[in-house]
Amino acid sequence: MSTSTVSTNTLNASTSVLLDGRLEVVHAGIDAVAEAPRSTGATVTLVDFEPPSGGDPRRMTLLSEVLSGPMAPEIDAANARALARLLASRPHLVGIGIARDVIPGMAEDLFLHAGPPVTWERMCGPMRGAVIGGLLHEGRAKSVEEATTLAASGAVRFDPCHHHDAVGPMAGLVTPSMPVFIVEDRGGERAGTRTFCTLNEGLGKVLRYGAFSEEVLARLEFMRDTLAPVLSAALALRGPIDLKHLMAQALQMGDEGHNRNRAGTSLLFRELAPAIVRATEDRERAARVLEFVNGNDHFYLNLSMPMGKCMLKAAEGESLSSLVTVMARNGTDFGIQVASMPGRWFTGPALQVRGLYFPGFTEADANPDIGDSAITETAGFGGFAMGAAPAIVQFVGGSAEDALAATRAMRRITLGANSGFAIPALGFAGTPTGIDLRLVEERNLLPQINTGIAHRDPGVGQVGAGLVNPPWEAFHAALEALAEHVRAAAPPPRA
Amino acid sequence: MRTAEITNVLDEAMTPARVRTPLPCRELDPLPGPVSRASLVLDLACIFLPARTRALLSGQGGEPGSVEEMVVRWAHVRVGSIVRTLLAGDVRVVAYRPDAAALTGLGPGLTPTGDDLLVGLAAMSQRLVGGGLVEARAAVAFTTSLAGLPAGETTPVAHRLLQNASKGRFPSVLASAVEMLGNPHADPESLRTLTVHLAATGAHSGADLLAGAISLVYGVIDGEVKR
Amino acid sequence: MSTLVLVRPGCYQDSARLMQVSRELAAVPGVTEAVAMMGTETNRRLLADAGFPKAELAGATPLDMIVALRAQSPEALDTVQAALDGLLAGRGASVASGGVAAGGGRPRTVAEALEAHPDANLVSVAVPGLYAAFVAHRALDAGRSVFLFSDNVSIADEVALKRRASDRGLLVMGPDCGTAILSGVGLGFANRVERGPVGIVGASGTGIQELSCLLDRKGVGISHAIGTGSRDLSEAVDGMMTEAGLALLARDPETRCVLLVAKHPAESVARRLHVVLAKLGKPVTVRYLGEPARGAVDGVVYAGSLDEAAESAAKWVGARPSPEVAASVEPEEGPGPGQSSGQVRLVGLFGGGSLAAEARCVLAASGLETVVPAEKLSGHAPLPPGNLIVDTGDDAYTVGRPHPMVDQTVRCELIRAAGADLSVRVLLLDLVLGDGAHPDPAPELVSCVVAARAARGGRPLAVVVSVCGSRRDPQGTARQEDLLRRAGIHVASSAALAAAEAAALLPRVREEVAR
Repeated sequence: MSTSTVSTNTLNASTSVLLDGRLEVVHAGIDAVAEAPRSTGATVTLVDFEPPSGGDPRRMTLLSEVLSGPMAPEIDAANARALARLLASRPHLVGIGIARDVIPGMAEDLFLHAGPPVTWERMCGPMRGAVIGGLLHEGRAKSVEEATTLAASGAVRFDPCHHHDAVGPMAGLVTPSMPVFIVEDRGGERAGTRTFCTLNEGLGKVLRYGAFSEEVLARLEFMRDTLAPVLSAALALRGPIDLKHLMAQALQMGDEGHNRNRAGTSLLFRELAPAIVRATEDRERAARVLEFVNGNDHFYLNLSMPMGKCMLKAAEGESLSSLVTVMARNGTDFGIQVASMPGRWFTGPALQVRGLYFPGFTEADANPDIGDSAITETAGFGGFAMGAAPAIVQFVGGSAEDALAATRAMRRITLGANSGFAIPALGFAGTPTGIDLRLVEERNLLPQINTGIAHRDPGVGQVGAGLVNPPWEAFHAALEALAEHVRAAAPPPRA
Repeated sequence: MRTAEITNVLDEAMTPARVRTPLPCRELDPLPGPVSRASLVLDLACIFLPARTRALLSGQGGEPGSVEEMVVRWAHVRVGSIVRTLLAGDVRVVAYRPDAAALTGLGPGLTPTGDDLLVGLAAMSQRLVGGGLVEARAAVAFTTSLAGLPAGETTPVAHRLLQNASKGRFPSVLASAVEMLGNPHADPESLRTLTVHLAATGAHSGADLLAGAISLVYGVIDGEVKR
Repeated sequence: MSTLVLVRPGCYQDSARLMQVSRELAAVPGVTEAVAMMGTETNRRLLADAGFPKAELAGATPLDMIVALRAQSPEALDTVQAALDGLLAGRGASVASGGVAAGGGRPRTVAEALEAHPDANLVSVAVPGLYAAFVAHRALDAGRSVFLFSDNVSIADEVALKRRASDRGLLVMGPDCGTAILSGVGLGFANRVERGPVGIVGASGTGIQELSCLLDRKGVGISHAIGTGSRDLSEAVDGMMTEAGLALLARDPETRCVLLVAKHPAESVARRLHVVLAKLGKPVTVRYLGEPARGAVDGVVYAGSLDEAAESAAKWVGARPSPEVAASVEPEEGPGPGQSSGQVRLVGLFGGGSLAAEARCVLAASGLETVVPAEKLSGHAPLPPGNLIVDTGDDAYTVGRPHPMVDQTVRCELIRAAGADLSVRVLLLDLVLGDGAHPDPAPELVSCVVAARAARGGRPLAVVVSVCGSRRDPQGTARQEDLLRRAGIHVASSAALAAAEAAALLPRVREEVAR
């Protein structure tokens, strides 16, 4: 039965080193067992062992299969390819278009939303609020009551942004007439890939937090009729903007690209201002656009998101890969996707955000975690680049050391680092990039996401900001599916 | 006050799931199945008892005269006393108060060892009420004594844990293990898994919770606290 | 002895960090004790009782961390203050990342530990059995050999691990591998023996310990002892690691002769191994526990006991043969009044499974049949009839508690039970010393024996103990033996000699032999 024979040449170098008198031991488990080697002269490193995958024996078997099984080297190779493509992508802002014209599969009766699929019945408050606002904005309904009836009637279809290469912050609502940024990959193997995102409305009462009051609708109209055409003309004049380059600079100026976008917004403003002035005849119109961008510290978020999506699209579809390509929430469910199984959602309940609240609000007001913005962490910035943004750690109450530690911790679950996104305070180390589902499970460590907190009722808006993790259920489900996918791809055992 | 709150939020957020405090709590399953002395005996052979738990159960651990040794010895005496009082069926809250007060805030950790032991004991006492091995009113008296422990005697996290326990809510890692103990239908593998899982909670909180629970089991089996 | 109490106000640390701080401070030279606890009233009282100045503890609240230190000199405490500041400053870093890369704190997974220590060449695994295969596979993933101390690993997992290791030219020593000595470094339970020309491959931990100690007593050293795990020579595992170990020793320039020790090999495996051994190119002696001597077959010596195997290896490397030690004891008094001679019997209580097997074999050779009880024995129930040999290191006795080499509680209970049984006249025990074993087992064993004898109303109980220990073992082998002798216990230098002595002490054997 056994294939082993006494062939001394099969023993590799590291084994003969065992007998060379230089024993260096890594020990996991009962500490007392390490006493013997330590007291007889070996160097011993103790591991603080904790059971992998939460200690569940069945999941552990699956995990062992994908980490150490016969297909593991193939998975490692697939991950290396997926990560290389992710890192090689060069997303550029190339233009602004109207959703119905540019987003693939967009239709007049289709509303896109954040996160995995969700029905009207299961939608959370802010998401419903955004749908109501969207119906009013599209002129499909005249009143809130009418919009509510219409939404429940099935007159509009709902589909995740991610099914259409788009992403949206918070509720992430995209209706057919909304203007969207067009981001295009200008480098690597997947050049030409396009991703989309609406334009950022600013803070306070906004549609993405489920608000639909007069001022919200008026702003949406301004964005459609003034902001988008002006920016579009300016972009045409200036030419595409290299977003990765811009992001790299922003990271060195205290942004992390998710909860802090002040530097990114300023850099974008600098890039666009001359072109806006040149492309706009009406000076007042140009000024209003410049004021709007300048007055909204999060304007750049709606570019960092489609940039992240564009990078991750490059990794998507790599068979056997365990790299996580999507993390997204609809306020009810949290869903993730994995490179080797594009389009397939693995979900769990969206969790409560741990954070600080604006005066007058408490945890009781908070909606569970919502939005596609976790694409930033998935692509290796946002919460993963916390070390670059000490300012916002202060905002959620921590120290600069905590920020650096958070970034280092994420390196434990990622396949590599993005040397293009360097963090000065970490000796210009790249941001941790490419979440490996297997490492999350092995190390019992979930990705950390920075996020805003929406009020649980429609129409109220943002009530705070903080930190959140995905639910374990999503990762556990993805692990099971990955093991199945890998088994199906394995060559039949030789007889 | 505000600063402390903010630090709490961040500490929690920044801490890996394993050591995040306070632990998520839940009530015991009202009908986790019957419990019998015989299956308790069998279960003791299956469960995972880390060194820390064994030290607390035996009252022996650490160098003589060291603080660790004293913690283990003090805790052992007080836990033994609570177990005897419970098994004697004493229904007076005051009968438990001195021992509970001596345990709260005792020992290292964000939830000190003594508080973990109390919570472990409380969970197990509830569980064994179902099997008729502990008198219901005695278990109630004991858990009620926990509610009266002053907040200033221990850390805030431990205090919250005790308050939860006094309302019948226990860390779910503990609850799952306790529900499985003494259940003749429980399979040994999952019992072992659950206790391993519990033991892996926190730096030693899990081992301390387990020690509290098992002390009472030892008491029930031996008719006295095992030495 | 000096003390230092530091109170860090409002320093609300999580418990893992607290533990880490005290561990790291305890490692500062000169510091004898370091504890870090929250300043609850109970803890303040406790620390005061432990001899720390009350006044310095007074101001602490449950939100403050108290660090209490004891050191040999005031100077040692000075360095601590600085170390503490450093540790607390680095707090966030090591708590959140746990990685060595973050500076401080233990790694949380074997994979990360190996990334941080690329020169590490062996992974030692002593996690609960349920997780052991997972961890061992991760070590193989990183191209490292494994010492797998954990037991309760399924045979399927064992085969998978060893196949993979064989394919990659790595070793998986275990599961359930008690002992290995690589270049003088002990792993698991191991005795501190001199280095020398004899290489050992063993599927039995105590077998390796006994062999290495027997050789040590003869002044012969060990090059390496490679444990393979107790099931390596089963049909399913097919001796994969035994072969790998033999191959390593065949190539090792320091090893001049090879010893193989195992319990009950599967016949097919033994046959195949024989061919391997015959072609090894170095002198080989084999001891299959429980089997009779077969002499030299194709140049491979099959010894009849561990003593004989050690003697043979010593001869291979040219050591002077040691004088035969004959059992030189007088039998105890005959059966007491009111007892038939048929009731007089021997009970053997072992910590080492291989030593139990070896004893049975020797007893059988001297005409004494023994039984291994099918049921787990309890100290509270009467012992089953017959001459008993019990391995208290067996799974039935060790689930949920440490091995009897570390914790003698179970064996002590059984010694008392045997003492209370007047038909038991001879007690046969083993005592394994070395790293990993109980730090000072003789006093405890003596007190059990004294208690057992006290319960017999003056009727004698002969006790024979084989001591498995080397001259350099931390417990002090000479001292342990001396303590036993002073308690009127016969001390033998090997399990086989102890068994022979015990047989001679039992009156019944002589009667039967005479008949």
